[in-house]
Amino acid sequence: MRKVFATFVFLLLAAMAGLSGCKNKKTTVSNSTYDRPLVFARPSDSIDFDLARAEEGESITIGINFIERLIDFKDGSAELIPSLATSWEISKDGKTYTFHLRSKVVFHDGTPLNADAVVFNVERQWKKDHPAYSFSAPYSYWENMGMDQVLESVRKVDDLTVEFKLKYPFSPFLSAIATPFLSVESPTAILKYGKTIDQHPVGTGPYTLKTWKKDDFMELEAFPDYWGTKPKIKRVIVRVIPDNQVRLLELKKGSVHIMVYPNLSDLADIKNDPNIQVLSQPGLDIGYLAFNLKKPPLDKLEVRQAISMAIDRKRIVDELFQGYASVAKNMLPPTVMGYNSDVPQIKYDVEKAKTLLDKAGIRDLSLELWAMPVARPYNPNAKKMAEFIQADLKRVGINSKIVSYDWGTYLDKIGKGEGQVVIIGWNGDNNDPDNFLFTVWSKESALRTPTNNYAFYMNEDVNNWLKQGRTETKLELRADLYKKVQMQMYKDLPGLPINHSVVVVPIRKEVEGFALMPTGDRRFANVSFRSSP
Amino acid sequence: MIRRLIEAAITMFIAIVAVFFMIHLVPGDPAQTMLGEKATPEAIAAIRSDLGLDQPLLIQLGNFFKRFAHGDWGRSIRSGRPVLDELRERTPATLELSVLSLMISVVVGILLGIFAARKPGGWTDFILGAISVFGLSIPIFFLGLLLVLLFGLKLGWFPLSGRLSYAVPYEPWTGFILLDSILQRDADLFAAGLSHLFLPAVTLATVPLSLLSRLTRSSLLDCLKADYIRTARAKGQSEFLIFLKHGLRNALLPVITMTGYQFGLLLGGAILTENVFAWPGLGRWIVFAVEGRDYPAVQGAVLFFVAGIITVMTVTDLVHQWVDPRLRTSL
Repeated sequence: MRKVFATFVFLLLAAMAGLSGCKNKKTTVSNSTYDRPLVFARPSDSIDFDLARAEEGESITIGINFIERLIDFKDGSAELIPSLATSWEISKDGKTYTFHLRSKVVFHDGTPLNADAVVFNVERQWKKDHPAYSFSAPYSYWENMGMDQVLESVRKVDDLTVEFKLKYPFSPFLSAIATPFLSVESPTAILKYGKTIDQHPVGTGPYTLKTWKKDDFMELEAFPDYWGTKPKIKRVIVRVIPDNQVRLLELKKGSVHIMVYPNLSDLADIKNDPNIQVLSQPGLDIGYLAFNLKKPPLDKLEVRQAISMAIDRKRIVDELFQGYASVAKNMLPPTVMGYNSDVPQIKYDVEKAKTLLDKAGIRDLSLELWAMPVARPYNPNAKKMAEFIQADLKRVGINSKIVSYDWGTYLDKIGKGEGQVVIIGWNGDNNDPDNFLFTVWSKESALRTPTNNYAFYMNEDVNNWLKQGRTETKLELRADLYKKVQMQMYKDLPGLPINHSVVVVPIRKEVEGFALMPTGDRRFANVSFRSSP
Repeated sequence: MIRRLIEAAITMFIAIVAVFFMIHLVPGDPAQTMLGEKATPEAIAAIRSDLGLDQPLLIQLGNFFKRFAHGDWGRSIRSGRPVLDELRERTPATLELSVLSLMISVVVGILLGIFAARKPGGWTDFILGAISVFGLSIPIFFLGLLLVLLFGLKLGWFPLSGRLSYAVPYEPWTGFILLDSILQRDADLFAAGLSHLFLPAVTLATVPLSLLSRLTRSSLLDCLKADYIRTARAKGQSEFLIFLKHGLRNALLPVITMTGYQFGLLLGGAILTENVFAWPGLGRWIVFAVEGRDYPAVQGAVLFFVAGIITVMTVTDLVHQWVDPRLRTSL
């Protein structure tokens, strides 16, 4: 016992002696706002920086700082702008897309950007015999977007020109090109890192990944040879702080400059802080009720209308979302192309709902109200929402029973048509209306098992418009098709749109230039500190 | 000794089988659960074949053992990376936190226990008892938040969260920051590491500390009533020596056993503590794995923890035998 103690004391003394003789690191203090690090905090870490296959939001929304694509979205909007491609042409028949690449662009590893690099990045997701195919397979975005069925060929025309040939006109193609899965990463780096390319993003973006301590922080450093406007801040630290309150305290202290996902209940307190402002923007999502048309009496339009009028969605938004959501009237978020603002809003009207039920000859109606067990951006608490709806329905004489299963079973059952009135929603993969409307409300979707079309809505007109929307290349004509779809869906009411979430981001007032993107991307290239820190 | 190792192996075997069946007890289709509302029939089929769920159960179990024995713990669904790699990256952070907490709780806990036992029923005893009850009953995440608010934000003595500030340069050798700072003779790194470690370690130590102080107190009181203490007194030995040699040494036996058990509890507490303090360790990784329904990752984590606890238990038994000569002969 004594020996152990003596050894311990000795080790401790030795350690202290060792420490006392050690070097003192000097920290350089700089007044330049370029050298001042920007600290961004979020609840969880990125996991996968191979944007060809990355699906998880925290990876994509940070990864776009390293890796760019041919076309990009304008800061803070869904408008398409040139990025690695300076211009593009679409052939008359809508089947050939030609992109002209920006010259003198280099990847972080010095590899020049050229047509070969673009072709490489497309083919590695497509051709199973491509040397890089196996590194990140399966490529689920590629599959989900049906690229195999759409794409005929991709080829280099000259060093700075790439041509895509499609099997048939497919107008969401341009949106697909602007989606992160068709990013352009350095072919040299992909072949060098192989299966670990997801840990080593090498693109052409304004920032490079300097260090990455898992679940802790990563350090982004401005890329000196960036082709575009040079970043205004040299180092960006992206921290992981899982607890919403601790993240907020760090922001208040000033050790964090931008935080995402605050507790909605903390927002009143945040607004009183003189150093903090709260940015907000509509989210790219829709929370809705699906009426399973296969389950009578939900097949009767009057019943669906009555249920819709009986529900006080304003109250749900105010109480469940603390006001940080908007009442929806379409199955498409307002920021998406083709949103139809002419569609009337269904009014909350208890008396009219009762009259409609009488007219349909419905009395003593009992329904199953299905509530999902998990929180989603479009719905933080579906069971609570179900309770609101249950109380509203009771007021018009409809009895409802709340039904819930664990997430997997829930999706499986509603996907097989066992649900009745189903609480569900959709997060957009991109800004294209096709992603919201065709994927969920088409006949094609309804005929799959399990389906996403939980209402089993199969209107032939709507389905034709949705299919035309996939091939029409003129933007205005395409938008008109989707507007017609929304108007028809308002008339048919296969589901009741409830809400679009609102994204809120508290940031320090000394920070400027942080634009909220509809896709949730966090872009740091234009962020700067106001001159006096 | 050998019997102890066989026991450990059997426990591990049972754990592996239990963990294997975990994925099959999940209600609903695991592939569908993992994919969420965007699951397509093709993606579900892909995951099922990836996890081997389309094969007969016994063959799956056999494959599971084979893979496990070869050090292949599967790939995380979330990240697509080997589970073992992900575990390895995060282990030092959790171990460093747990070991420091354990040291705090053992040293402070035993000292407080001794103080309380010196005058049972006295004021010190009463106050220390009250503190222990407080330490045992306060929710750990709440205590963590209070400490962050008070010592981090209001007083500014410690950083609010994180393991090391990005501003401190650090080249990991072993991954244990305090150990590395000593090896690299870097005082700044040591100070920075310790200041980040302090609040989470104290938070995590509260429960075991309170338990150990109570246990030391009662065990010490029992021992001091024993016959051999009276004999020692009759021999005219000094009170201090009696206390230390005959009292404390015997009283510590149950405390050592309990410390081993506490280590298991600490790993559980680490999940909550790591979450509050943004500590990049195993606990938070497991939370993400569970939330993301990443079964291979959860399986790996459970096995890892079981293996860790079995090891600690075995070591505790060995230490116990070393301290208590009576146990040595029984083997």
